[in-house]
Amino acid sequence: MASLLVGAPDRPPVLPHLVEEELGRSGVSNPVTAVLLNFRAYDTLLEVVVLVAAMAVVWSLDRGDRDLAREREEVRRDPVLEALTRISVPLAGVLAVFLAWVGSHRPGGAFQAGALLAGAGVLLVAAGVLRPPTAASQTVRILVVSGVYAFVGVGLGVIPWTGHFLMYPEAWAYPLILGVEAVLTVSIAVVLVELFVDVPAAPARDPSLERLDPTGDPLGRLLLRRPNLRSPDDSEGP
Amino acid sequence: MTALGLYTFAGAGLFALGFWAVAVRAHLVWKVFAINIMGSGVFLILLSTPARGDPAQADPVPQAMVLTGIVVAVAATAVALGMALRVVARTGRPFLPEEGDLETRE
Repeated sequence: MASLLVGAPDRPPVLPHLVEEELGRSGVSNPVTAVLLNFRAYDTLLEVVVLVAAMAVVWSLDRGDRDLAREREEVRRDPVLEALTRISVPLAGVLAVFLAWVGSHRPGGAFQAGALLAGAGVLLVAAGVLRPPTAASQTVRILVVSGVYAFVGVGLGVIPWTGHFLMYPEAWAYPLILGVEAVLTVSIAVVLVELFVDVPAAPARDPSLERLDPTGDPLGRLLLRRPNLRSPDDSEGP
Repeated sequence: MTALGLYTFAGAGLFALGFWAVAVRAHLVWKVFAINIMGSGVFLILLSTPARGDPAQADPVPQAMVLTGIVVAVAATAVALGMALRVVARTGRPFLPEEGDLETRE
């Protein structure tokens, strides 16, 4: 397979020249950012939609972790992690703002900044400083969809000027891109944290799970090799 | 072999390695990991193939596509891990369910 790819005929690259020609009109000076947020902005919009769709799937899965829902009430603070957050979270915040802004003329942009913020967010949750996010929280839901809404809103909003979805008028390209990137950064960070540290909103009530595992912690049972309590009379309320 | 040709070979090699691991390894987390490695192989191929022999003309369009691809791979990994947890919750074992594992015991 590799020899097929390496041996493929050398066609003169056309796209980089097209990108360079139009770069001046795109509103940003970094070619990758111009491609991501202007020339192929529709792809980036759909990428954010994919993130939100993954969010919907994870929220709809019942992973049997009812113990986590209970633990949400007691937030454990870990002193070592807390010290780490004190150093790294402000740094991550500043770096994220820088990354999001510098994306216009250097490698950077909304996704990179959002990922950095998500790392800081996961650290905050692990240290017990923040409660783990959950689908029930109105704030979380609004933040998750704000990225898509902002992007689509901008896309529809430019139609009266240029007649096409997501075709920015040249004079407004830079501020529009910057604005969309700012909202996207926060939204992506929230989605990423939520995807990986989500806690179910309410204790699960799957009857097949009740039979298999009345203690409500199948993953813990697997990790610690505790015996599988299987007596049907044993049912522990949340 | 140029340096860029090396990246293409590495990408193809990663893809093959990931493909083998997905088929052979039974543990669900191994499979998710192997799929991620296949993804990394594809990204390497996407980036190295257009810029054959001349690093100066790094084509920005595949770079943007790979950035998008990385984000989509992260989202898909999250979904896959969530489903793996669901399988563990239903069958108690982190492997693909066998015949009869999923019956509810009424």
